[in-house]
Amino acid sequence: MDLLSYSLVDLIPFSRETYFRLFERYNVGVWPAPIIGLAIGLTALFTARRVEGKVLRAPFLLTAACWVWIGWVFQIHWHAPLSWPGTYFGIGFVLQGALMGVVLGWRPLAGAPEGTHRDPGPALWILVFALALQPLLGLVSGRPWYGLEVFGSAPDPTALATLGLLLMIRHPLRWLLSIIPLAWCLISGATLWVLSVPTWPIMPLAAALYLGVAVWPRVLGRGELE
Amino acid sequence: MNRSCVSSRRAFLAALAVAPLSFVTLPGNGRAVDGRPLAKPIPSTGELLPVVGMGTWITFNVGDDPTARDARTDVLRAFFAAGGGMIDSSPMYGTAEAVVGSCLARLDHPKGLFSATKVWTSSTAEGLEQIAASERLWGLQRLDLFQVHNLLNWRSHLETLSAMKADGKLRYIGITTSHGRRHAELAQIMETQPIDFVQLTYNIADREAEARLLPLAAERGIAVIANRPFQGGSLIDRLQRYPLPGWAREIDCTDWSQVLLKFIVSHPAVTCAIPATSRVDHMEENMAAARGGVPDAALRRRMAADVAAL
Ligand SMILES: NC(=O)c1ccc[n+]([C@@H]2O[C@H](COP(=O)([O-])OP(=O)(O)OC[C@H]3O[C@@H](n4cnc5c(N)ncnc54)[C@H](OP(=O)(O)O)[C@@H]3O)[C@@H](O)[C@H]2O)c1
Repeated sequence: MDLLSYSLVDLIPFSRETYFRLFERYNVGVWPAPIIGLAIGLTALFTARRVEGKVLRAPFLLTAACWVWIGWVFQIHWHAPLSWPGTYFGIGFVLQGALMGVVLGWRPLAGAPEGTHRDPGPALWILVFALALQPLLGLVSGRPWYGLEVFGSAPDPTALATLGLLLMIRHPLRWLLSIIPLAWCLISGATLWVLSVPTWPIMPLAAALYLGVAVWPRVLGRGELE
Repeated sequence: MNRSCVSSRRAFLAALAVAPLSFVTLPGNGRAVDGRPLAKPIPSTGELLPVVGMGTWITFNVGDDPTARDARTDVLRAFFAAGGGMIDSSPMYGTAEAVVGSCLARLDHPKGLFSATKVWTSSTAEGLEQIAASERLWGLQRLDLFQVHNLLNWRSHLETLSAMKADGKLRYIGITTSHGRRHAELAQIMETQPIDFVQLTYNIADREAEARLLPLAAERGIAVIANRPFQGGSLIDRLQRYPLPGWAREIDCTDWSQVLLKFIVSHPAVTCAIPATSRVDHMEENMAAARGGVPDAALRRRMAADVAAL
């Protein structure tokens, strides 16, 4: 396909109303998956701590499973019928879940160096934002509670929380695991911008914050994107 | 009556003078009769097509959502009640074809439908699958018009479509572009290929097609479908901040949508415009543009100048 002859607007073939309705229909259709996702998110939040230089693998593996679910169920089965790029997003999400499982699943994780971030630090702030505040922003935009995007079953909060988690660890392949969540932040921001959703800058700003914390340690602490 | 505004019979005659047989109506004179809308002939057959059709990009891509499907069924009901004809869609528009198909079935396949969709793939074999899928999704054994979407793999698809037309498996073939893209290549295709329809962006603010493509279509006997009549909504949103100019009433326009649509369909080479909407009230406004007076060449110039000055 001659992708270069298409503009961003050509790639988003639905209205804001249809996009919001997608989440309402999806949440009802896969119920109680959104509640299970939230429970996984809370578990991740409470287990994602540096203890004596180490970080538990559980929150990463649980989040990896959420990526696979969102790729397969949300992107490919719910989103793609409305918008053909959804299939490619689905493949990307499943790949991210698999990568997180393979890269982080088989040996203990070293925490980011002590003193990298003063607790609660950007990592925890991002996690708390993704789990609690971001879904609530939907309510402010007038969306019904059953149409909210929540961690574990919806892509935006899951991608954001993943970036928060990644900030907590030191790993040679952390940069690799950051690519898809960062790309999703841009894709989501662009989609919401085309749909004139006022909260569109949140995801790109979160990506910028992540890169700021991870790449410019001297400015914002001592994290690094190995 | 204002001299720059020629309504009904005179508009009809004026249009005939510019391009013979390019603007006719359903039986009667230039003003719609029997509640039927203005129509123009498809040059390759003479079949009449109502000058206002409808598009489905974004507006009909609502998936399985029952509430939204009910609302779109109402929109289609209003379209056919007002004498609508062409519905344009594409496999690129997500679930739009499936939604149109389900609405048509719920309306018991209303009379007057002119079904138009597209082939949109770089693979020739997949093109055949898309054609079969479109027939299934629309719930029709044979669609009226298949167009090559955005010139994608056009040589090969046009071959396939021509063969299908020869076999009676579809009625018309065409090619589309939009946003003023690839006009030179489109002109070449219009000059060399035996197509019935061309679809391109033409509205009061995007008038590049007037220079070459519209005269070429008239010369080659190719029907023209004007897409993006409201620039995807942004043009009409902008214009609605201004009061309607005085001349609008003279061509029976009560709304900017009618001004914009009448400007488009009064071009002698344009066969129909295909505004998209998700709302019944907007559909009724749009369909009203197929009735009443039409602007002549002088008024068209004034309309374009006045809108450009806003
Ligand atoms: N390459 C191609 O082949 C190609 C490219 C572009 C378009 N197309 C075809 O052309 C069709 C039309 O183009 P388009 O959909 O891009 O844009 P358009 O028809 O210029 O504009 C559609 C927008 O106008 C609004 N609208 C419709 N009637 C209105 C009214 N009476 N008052 C106020 N607003 C009104 C609609 O909003 P509401 O829903 O609120 O009414 C919608 O947002 C497409 O649907 C598609 O079928 C083909």
